[in-house]
Amino acid sequence: MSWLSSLPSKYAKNIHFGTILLIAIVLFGVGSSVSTPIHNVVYTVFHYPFVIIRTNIEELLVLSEKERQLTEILVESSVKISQMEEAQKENIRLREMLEFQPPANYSLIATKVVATAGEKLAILVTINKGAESGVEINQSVINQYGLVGKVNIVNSNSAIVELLTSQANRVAARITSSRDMGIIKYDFDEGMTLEYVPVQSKVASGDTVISSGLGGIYQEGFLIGTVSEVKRIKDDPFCTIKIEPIVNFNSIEELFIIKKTTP
Amino acid sequence: MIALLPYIFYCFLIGFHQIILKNITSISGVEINLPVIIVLLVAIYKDEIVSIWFGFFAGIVLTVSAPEQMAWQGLFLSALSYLVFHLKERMNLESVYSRTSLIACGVLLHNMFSLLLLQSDSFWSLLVSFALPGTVYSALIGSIYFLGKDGKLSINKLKEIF
Repeated sequence: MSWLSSLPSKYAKNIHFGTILLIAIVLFGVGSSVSTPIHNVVYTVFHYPFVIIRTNIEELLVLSEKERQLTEILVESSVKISQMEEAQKENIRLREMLEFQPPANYSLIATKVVATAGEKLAILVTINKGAESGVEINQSVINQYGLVGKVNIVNSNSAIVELLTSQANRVAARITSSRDMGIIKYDFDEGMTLEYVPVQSKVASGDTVISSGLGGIYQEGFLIGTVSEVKRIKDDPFCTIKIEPIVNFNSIEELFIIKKTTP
Repeated sequence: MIALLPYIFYCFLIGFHQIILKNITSISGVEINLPVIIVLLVAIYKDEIVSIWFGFFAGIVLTVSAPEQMAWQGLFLSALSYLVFHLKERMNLESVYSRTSLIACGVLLHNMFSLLLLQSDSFWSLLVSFALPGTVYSALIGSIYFLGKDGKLSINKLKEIF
């Protein structure tokens, strides 16, 4: 009978494999009624946690990609908004310029500033019209606010304008209220000044200054600025008059050239 | 119960591979057959009873996506474990090459068996395009494992090379 007790240990592996075979046959035989619950348990224990992890990772990747796309759209939109704001400002400036009327016998050549030159302040600007558009040397240049300068150099499709901020550029000017005349000049330290106005002149702060037309270059009547300070120094026959320019020479963009239409 | 913990961990590893790792490590559709590698490693390094039961349960865990194949895969992997265990007893598995060859043969048999279960008309083309490359890929992973286990591949040795 000892062979009976030794039987399981001798054929242990066969018994185990036979058990597995039997289980497999049962699974084949009963079909989904048994295999489905087993499948559900195995899926819940060994697969479902990783399914959740994978789903979360995929969602994270999708969100990350969406964020990247939205950031790109945001940057593009910001650029477009800046461009639109610029266009709106240009629109306003151009509308103001459209209301400006040239003097009699003169027409306007509309130009755009494409380059500036000058260290602390622009003294020369390059515009996008030249001889082919009728630009000539010493033509007056204005914007919608007032006198800006004169044409200095002319090329076929561009020209250089010397601004009133150039120390070499002098303008014969007149004070509108007192009708006194003087010469406008610009100095980097003192700013724009009106010189050679007699000390007995009745000029006062707030008076407007226009071009007198007597210099031979600039036409009469273009607004240059307003008087900001008047100094009368003892024994000096002339006043020291500081002018606040009407034109902001740091932000000129669109300009008009005054072109004579009749000889 | 504590003795079962490593095998439960291996089953979780199979689940992790089936859900996450398989797609990440596949190259042009060629996948590592990690469940079979694990089953064969258990057959090589553990005893017979453990390996045949683990093979059976690994087959059940493996086929969660195809429950109708559950019994087939369980039976096949159990039989494969049984076969590998006896081959191990009769062969000299000292070298990495012999163990890698054993892994390769086991993976190839399982890949072919899985294709037969699919009952696809393009058995031979799938064998050539997926089963055989998958066998090579799995054998490569197996060889890396064996080299690491034998101490022939380690971080220090890699540092010495470079």
